[in-house]
Amino acid sequence: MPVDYFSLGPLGDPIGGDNGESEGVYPLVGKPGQLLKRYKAHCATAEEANRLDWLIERAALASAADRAMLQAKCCWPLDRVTDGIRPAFGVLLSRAPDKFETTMLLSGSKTKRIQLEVDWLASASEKCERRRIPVPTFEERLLICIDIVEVADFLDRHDIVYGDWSYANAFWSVGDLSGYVIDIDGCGYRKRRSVATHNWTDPRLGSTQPADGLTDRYGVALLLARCLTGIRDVEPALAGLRRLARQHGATELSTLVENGVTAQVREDRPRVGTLLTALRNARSSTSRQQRSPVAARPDNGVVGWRKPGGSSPTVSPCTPAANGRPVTPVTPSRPQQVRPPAVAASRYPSRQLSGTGTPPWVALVLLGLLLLLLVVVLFS
Amino acid sequence: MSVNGDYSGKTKCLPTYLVLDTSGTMQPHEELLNATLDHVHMSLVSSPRVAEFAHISIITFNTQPHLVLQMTDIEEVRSLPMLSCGGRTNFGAAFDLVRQRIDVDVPAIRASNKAVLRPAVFLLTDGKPSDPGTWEISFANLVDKSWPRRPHVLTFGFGAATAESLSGMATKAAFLARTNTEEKEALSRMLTTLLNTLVASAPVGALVVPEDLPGFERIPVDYVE
Repeated sequence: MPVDYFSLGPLGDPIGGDNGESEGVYPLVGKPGQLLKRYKAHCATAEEANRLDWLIERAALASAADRAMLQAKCCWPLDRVTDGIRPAFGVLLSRAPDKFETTMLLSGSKTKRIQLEVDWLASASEKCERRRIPVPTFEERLLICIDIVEVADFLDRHDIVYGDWSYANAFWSVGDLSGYVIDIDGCGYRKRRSVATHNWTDPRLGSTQPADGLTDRYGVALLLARCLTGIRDVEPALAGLRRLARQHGATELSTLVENGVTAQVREDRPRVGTLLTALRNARSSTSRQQRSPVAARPDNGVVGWRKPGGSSPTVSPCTPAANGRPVTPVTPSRPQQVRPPAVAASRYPSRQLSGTGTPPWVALVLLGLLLLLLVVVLFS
Repeated sequence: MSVNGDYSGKTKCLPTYLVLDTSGTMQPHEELLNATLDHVHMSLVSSPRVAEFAHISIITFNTQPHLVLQMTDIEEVRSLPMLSCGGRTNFGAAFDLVRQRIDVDVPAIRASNKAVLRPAVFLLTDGKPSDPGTWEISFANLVDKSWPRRPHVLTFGFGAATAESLSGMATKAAFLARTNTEEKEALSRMLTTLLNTLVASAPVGALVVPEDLPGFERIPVDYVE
């Protein structure tokens, strides 16, 4: 059942203006964390209402694990809103958690609080450093991208077409290196109206054709090429990813991403699930390897994610968890001071990726205990 | 064979000229003009995709035109000019300078491996031309159809600006503040519209002209492209 617009109560000031099919996005006063996205009149049709209902139901029918994943990693539509006249007057959405916000330096001492779009993850490290936005390492980028691609994989597995992968439609957190996908409410079943976003358009899709699952495979691969390297131009990004993959033992990932972007035949693009597996394998591989400051190597042409020097006095130490993410959010306690860019230690000094943090003596003790247990069992 | 363009296609860039009237009548708005420019700059640099798309140059004009900010990637702007106002409202020399700068700026952007869109000129004024008979010739030269680099021109006016002059100097859109719109508010809205236009244009890689502007009347343009 749709929610009655007039039952929502007062709305706060819009946080997003006229954008595509949206007339505006408004917080609900007294209901923190909930947003109303109002659609333009031509999008408020019964057909759109059916599409929204279908989409909302997909999450309800998902497995418990998928539901938990969707809740944490994307802004799945919660309820359709009607005003009694327009069936798809709007939709209720969850607001992205605060951890996806950060403070950027504008000029001098002026700062601004922003939601951290993957636009910045796909930007050169110099640009980020200039704005005091932390630059993640390759391993850290893998973690962020895994979150985003998990959402994309769910969509792909359920024939849901996103059709709008771009710099603006996912956030990332400098605190726990997580990713978050927005604008899910525009998704369609097997196809949707193609969203012509400059530098993201499927090169093998006719301009009048709707986007489909193959379009999404292209978009996700392109997103990975850009976000894993911090390079925006396609060919340099792919070349950068190849170099990184060689250094981190993740050539399977770079090959798949390249196929997804450059395949002559759309059907040859790898499935999103295949990309996700390759990302996870790459993460396992990199976490087994000795960490090295890649940007410091003279033969490395990738400049997009070199590590800033030293640990920031405003950064809380991160405690490594089982999944390799820091569990303590890294939140600047005050506007960050300008530091000269440098190539040295990671921005996340105490963060240890799984496989690198256990001292060898712990493993020896565990092995000894296991052997002792085995002896006891065998001879008892 | 690419259907919808090559995957390795160049990034598009919109050379944007902000042409500001800094004649004597703008003096009461100096502070607001500087503050709003600051706001526009800060908003643009907080979005890499917009900064990547729109390169900006600022030209002021009164008795003479002045290039106060050369065409540049917004990200690279380290300081903004502090504007002060005084003198007459000579549009003609400003149009001449814009034309000269386009011939310098377009090849420079192209050399940085970007696809250059037709430049966009945002002209903000509060007055009537002090150079009747001159500006018309300069404007015609600027938007001459035989010149491949001719820009789109959008005009925004308030105060003593007239529909007639704004209309005659625009190729895409002309907006005149309604009489009940306060001058300070009008100025702020004009610059915010510049910002919103660039933000809306970046994702589609083309100039997206605003349909309307609150507090302003959209007037038909004389020039037909």
